[in-house]
Amino acid sequence: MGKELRVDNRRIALVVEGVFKSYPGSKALDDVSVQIHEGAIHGLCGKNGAGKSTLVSAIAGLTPVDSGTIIYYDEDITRLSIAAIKRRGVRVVPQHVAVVPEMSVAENLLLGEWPNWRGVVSRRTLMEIAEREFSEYGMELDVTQKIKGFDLIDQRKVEIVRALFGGSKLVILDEPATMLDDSDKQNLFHFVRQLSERGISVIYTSHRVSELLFLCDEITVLREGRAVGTFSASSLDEPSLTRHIMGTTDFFFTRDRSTEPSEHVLAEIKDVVSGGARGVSLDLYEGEVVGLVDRVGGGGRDFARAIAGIIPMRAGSVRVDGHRAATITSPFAALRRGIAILTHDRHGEGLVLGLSVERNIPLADFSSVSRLGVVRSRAEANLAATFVSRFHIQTTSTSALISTLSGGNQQKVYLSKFLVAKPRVLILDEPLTGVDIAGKEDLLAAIDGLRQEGLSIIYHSYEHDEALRIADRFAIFSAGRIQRIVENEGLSEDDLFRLLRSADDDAVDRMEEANGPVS
Amino acid sequence: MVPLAKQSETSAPKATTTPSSSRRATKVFLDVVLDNAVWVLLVLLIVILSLVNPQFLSWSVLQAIASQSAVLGVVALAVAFTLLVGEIDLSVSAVLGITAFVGAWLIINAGIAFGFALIVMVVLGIILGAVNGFLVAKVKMNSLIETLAVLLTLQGALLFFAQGRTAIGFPDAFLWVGQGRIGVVPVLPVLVLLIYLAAAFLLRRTTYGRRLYAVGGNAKAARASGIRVDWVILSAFAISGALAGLAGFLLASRTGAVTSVFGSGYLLYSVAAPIIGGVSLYGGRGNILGVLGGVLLLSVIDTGLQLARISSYQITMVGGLLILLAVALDAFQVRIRKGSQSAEP
Repeated sequence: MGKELRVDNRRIALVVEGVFKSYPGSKALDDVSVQIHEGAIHGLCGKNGAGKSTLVSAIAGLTPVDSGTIIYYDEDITRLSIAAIKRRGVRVVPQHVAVVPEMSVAENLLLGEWPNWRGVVSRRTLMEIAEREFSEYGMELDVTQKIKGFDLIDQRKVEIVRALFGGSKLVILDEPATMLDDSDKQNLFHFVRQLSERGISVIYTSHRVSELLFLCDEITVLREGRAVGTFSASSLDEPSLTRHIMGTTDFFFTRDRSTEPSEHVLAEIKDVVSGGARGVSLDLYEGEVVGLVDRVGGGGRDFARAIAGIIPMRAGSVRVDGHRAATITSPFAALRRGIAILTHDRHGEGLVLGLSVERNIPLADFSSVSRLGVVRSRAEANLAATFVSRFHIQTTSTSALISTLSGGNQQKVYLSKFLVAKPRVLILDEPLTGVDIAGKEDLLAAIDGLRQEGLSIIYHSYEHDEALRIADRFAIFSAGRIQRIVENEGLSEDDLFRLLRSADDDAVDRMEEANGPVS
Repeated sequence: MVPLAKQSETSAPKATTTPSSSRRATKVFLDVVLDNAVWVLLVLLIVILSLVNPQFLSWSVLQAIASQSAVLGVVALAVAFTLLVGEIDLSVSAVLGITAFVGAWLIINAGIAFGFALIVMVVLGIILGAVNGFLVAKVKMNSLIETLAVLLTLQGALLFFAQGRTAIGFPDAFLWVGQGRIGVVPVLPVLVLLIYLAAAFLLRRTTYGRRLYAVGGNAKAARASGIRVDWVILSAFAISGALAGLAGFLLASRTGAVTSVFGSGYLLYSVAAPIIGGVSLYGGRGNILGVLGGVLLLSVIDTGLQLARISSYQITMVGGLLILLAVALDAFQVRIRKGSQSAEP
């Protein structure tokens, strides 16, 4: 066995020792050392550009390091190829779900490594292996079904099991809780803990401080390419971890409570039926933020998307000040009435990644940069520059491609695009997804600024801690309807969770009233 | 190409970094070369061809290239508009044929004034294009198959109506556009250059052009921004039809005769030229200068091969191989760029 690395009698799975990596003009990793204990859940956090992704790709062999060593179970893997590192059992699960939707769960699990005899895939063996693998991790899935029919959480778990297939001992999860609601997150955390109990080491990257503290045993913080330190999670709380990540706390956004929402109803939304929304009515006041609280599929998202015309509104009407009540049929119709939405899918539905910052910003309303249909380039650049300075958008220039910006800065461009159209009702669906800590504070401050200017804002998110910091009141959804509306005064995450549960009970009660008791 | 590829692998991965000045110079040079790959290729080919055959640079050969490029240029532009919104129009060459036939019939048989006939041709092109656009954007047919079906239908219709006859006997004014010259300058290429300038203005400087790129780049995002995606797609097909109708007039004017398979030779070249010129098959990427480069490249290949006395039995094959080479180089440049961007995942 030779001499084995042990600290406090716990075996060490991975040692990163004095790793440097620089790109011309910047040091991505500057003397970084980290130790991962076997079976530990090790959090990795830092702002955008702190070096997280460089470190992860260095471990996985995607990025060659300049100097330093990476040792995996007594073996130096620093100079090994990606495939060799993978074979030894170090696997990465990327942030965005990468499954083949039209293939079955089993086919996805063994993607590219299907059991076959001279190229002919044995369907029975495939299904057997898949079932065995899943049951080993306590999962019961119909492995013959196409994966596209499963929830995001199940797809994510399939990906993790896929990474573990073949006896992996160290798995790197990159922002795995993105886009999951509360109960799915708990489900995921439980699953990750199970892995750790089986002796699998987990490196867990996240922007979300609360998640890291809840789940991880140890947390390593990176800042500007240097490891600030590795802490045991029990020694930290949210403010202290945030301080380690940022190096300061004076950037924190606090809501300006001095301006109260006005009494003036800006928009009346009546009986909206669309997708999971089954008859939702809501009045929006000028200068307020209404949080929508629901579970995945609970109707909140569909309601938000329907009033902005993204998905068809089957019934219902929206009346915005100065317009007649109408059913919204398209985003074009919604924007004409002053309703804009930033959807949860920033890349898919938000920005044109192949275009520059200045070309994206005027897309929703060209009137300020064009005359008789001809675009004035100067006005276009100026418009972009205004927003760049207003929201502190970090970009090399206004003519830089959107795809070169970080998540938070992309989100600011996305917001700018719709502000050009001067909306009165602004709908935000998961606006802080993939945004780093500093960016989050900037965006929350920007949203609060818009509220003070008199916009009505609908805020839909599964990250309740964030919603609690910005919302004036909450609409609690269950079974496709708003069951309750509560003021955001002294509410906690637990309160919202309880409200959601009692909303479910209310929904059942109402159904029984309508249909008689369920036998 | 080897040193270039090597350089890109080690060059700066992040936009925020500042590479050393010599490195930056190499990178700028590389970018310029890659951005204008089709033009670099064109210049290279002209140099080679003129070394092989000094006649190649004579005024008459250049004129031949220019006038051959002219009609191809208009049909390639027609296809490019639909490619930019992420669709494709394969029916362009057939629309060209049918509008030319209708125009010829109006002028020669019905004795209609040629100016009026020209308007009818363009309007007919717009109508046919709009039908394509409607079926693609509103009925949601797949544009590849839909326009292929229209292509076959219109080709068949031309064969049926022409009955194997060739229409000749256009008035001189009609022929002047395609064959005439002002001083030593032929009219046709100049006219096409003007069309290109107008198209460049439309795409680069107008809100319509911006919408077109947005729809091609990300249709969902464009729709969510209040852009009426259906109408933009429909209009791109209508413009394509209008240009095809115009090309029908120009080709009839240049050749002076409309046959029953008129325009069919342009089918593949009209699609190949914009793609060689860097217009993406997936929409949202490409520019007018690139299309022009693609058109000139194809014409130079064609003319060059004829001058090199390659037998007509081989010319199609060799031309095809050269196009393959051009597209391979384009794919290669995309790979070089990706390599230099994704150093940090």
